[in-house]
Amino acid sequence: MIKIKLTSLTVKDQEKALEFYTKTLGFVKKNDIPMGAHKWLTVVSKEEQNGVELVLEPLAFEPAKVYQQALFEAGIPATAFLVDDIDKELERLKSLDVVFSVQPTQMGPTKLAVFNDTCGNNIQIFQML
Amino acid sequence: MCFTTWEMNFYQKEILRIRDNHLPKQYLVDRVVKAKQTIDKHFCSEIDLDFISREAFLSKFHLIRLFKICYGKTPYQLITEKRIHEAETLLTKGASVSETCYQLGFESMTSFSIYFKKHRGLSPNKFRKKAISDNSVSCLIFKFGAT
Repeated sequence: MIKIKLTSLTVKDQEKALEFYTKTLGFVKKNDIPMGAHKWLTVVSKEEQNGVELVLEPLAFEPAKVYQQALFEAGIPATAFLVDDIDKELERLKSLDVVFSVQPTQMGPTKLAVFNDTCGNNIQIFQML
Repeated sequence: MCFTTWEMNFYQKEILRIRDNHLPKQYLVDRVVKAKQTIDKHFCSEIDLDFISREAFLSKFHLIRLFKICYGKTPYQLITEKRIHEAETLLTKGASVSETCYQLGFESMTSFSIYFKKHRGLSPNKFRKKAISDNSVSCLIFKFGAT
């Protein structure tokens, strides 16, 4: 059997990312294993702690920096997270000074918004109506 | 979004382009969403396309076509998905096959077993035994701190 257990996101600074993804977004740290200059760092959803782990990968490969920058400037999200109530989540994140590039917008049966994770990525949140 | 087109980045423009060119008009999306909410509310009981389409104010033909555009599956496929998922949740929590069967509105254990096996590849009884055994292993790992 083959399963999806990890997905990754490149971040400019792992410490800063850990702070943002746990304290601001509300994920929980799952693994924090030192590996020289960087570490194996993963977070999970508080409600699904045995679910898919998000790897906060160090951005140590030059071409990856170019790719991340290009995605960011085009406003394209690096990944997306599901929320129960997007309007409520937007208000909560705005109160924590998170900056949104796309305000809640309905696309078919999905409502989405995009914010800056302060680590080099646009992140989309979405609610299925 | 309240931007003029020239102020938008690539992604913002794409959102609007896809919405305007590839998705149904908003009043139709609202009806499809109503159909989905009807399924969410009633999937454990016997619901059919007539009931869902009446609730959504759409003909059955339009409902199936628009539902597939919006959710990538037909209403029947969604009902099946939700019932199987609910059955798995109940069985994993230790509910008996008969309890699960009647809670999901199946008429008989036979019809439930055939339905579950068809969509999940193993009988509800085998699934339940496997889930309970997997849970016990997880509890032991947690208890003794093994990784």
